[in-house]
Amino acid sequence: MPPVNLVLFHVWGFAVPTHEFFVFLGVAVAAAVFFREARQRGQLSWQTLAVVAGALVGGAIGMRLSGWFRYLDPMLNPSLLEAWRFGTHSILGGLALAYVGVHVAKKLIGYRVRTGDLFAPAVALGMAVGRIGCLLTEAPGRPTELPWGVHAPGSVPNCPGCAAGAPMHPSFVYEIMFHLAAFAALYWLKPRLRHRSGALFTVYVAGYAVFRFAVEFTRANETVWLELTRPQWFLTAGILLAVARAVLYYRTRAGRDATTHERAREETVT
Amino acid sequence: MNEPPERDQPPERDQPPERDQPPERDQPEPNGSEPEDSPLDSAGTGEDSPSEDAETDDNSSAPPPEPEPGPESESGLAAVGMGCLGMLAFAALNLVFAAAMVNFLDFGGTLALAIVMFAAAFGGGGFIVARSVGPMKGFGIGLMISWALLSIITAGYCTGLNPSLYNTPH
Repeated sequence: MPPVNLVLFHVWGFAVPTHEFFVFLGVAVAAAVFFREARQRGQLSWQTLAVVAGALVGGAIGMRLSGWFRYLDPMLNPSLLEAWRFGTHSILGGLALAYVGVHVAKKLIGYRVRTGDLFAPAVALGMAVGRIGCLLTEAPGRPTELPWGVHAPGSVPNCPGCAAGAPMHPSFVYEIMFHLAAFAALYWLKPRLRHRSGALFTVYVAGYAVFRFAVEFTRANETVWLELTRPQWFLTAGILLAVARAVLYYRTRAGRDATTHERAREETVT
Repeated sequence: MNEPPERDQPPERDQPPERDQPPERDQPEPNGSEPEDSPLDSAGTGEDSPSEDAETDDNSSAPPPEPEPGPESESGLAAVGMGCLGMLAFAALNLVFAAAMVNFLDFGGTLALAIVMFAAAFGGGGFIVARSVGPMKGFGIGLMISWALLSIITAGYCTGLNPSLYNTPH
């Protein structure tokens, strides 16, 4: 399963890049799922469209600017303009700023209805499709002795395993399988969590964060500190923030519940 | 003949939710007051009793936060249709600009056109959203979505976000 050419096919003389083609396909699939979800939940409106615009704009900016924070030493990092020009196409950067973009869009139009549950299955299936492009064009992963290890041409950039001719983890296959499983799980959970708005999105994001942290051990990304890669450090910070917020939320909710019980008891007594 | 009244039966629990069925119905206008304000809602509780948390056990504790539907109306589809039109319009404009941009091999010219396209998407789109009513807002949003989509899919080639692409031989 070696990476194929960077060009998938030609249309009217124009080369269609493999990676970008599958990104397009992933976005199209995600849009279809989102549209279906929005209709089913009665949330199809111009406001929802504006939220999608916020997500896409944030995602586009995040993907380009994610190379801006490569090193702790700011002197080693590229300038904003350089990062913009030569930025990496990081999924994590795109997802993070897409999340910010959604909130900015909501703020701008004064829309307070939750939309995360519309995004969760759409992003899962879209990522499954989009990752096919990565599978076909990028370094597969770290060397492995496992029987399903794959080989790739030595010409693949940033791939020590490719140059050595060693079998490697098909890390993008792992990720595609995760997203497909997540998509199915989200549909299974949907009726069960229908009274807990936003829960589907939370479950998906938390699940992906944990999975991605684990799968990074099979990816060919450079380790920068304590044998962890940049995405793993990014995810560590993100997971800690999410846990802190969850604890804060449940404490607040527990306090509110206690107050409610107290009031109810007092009313019963009186 | 001896059909029991439907309402007297035990509460339905795992039924497909009614709200998922009708795609179009009158929704209450959102009042901006969400019952709960955290996206982390129930992250850890989904596994407790997934099928029983619907209507049966929540009367004594905190009421389950109902997903608040959006302000969908029959104009929702029209807004999406206008959004698609806006996307096509920007894509057509972008095609013209990108063709012109290929001839600008210097960084400055490309940057200038990139700014023009950004302004067309967000200045023009924002103006339409702010000034129009109803589904027409979708057109303005479509301009912005198209800019973002083209930026993502072409890695900034079409929208001029990645001027280095024009200077590298293909």
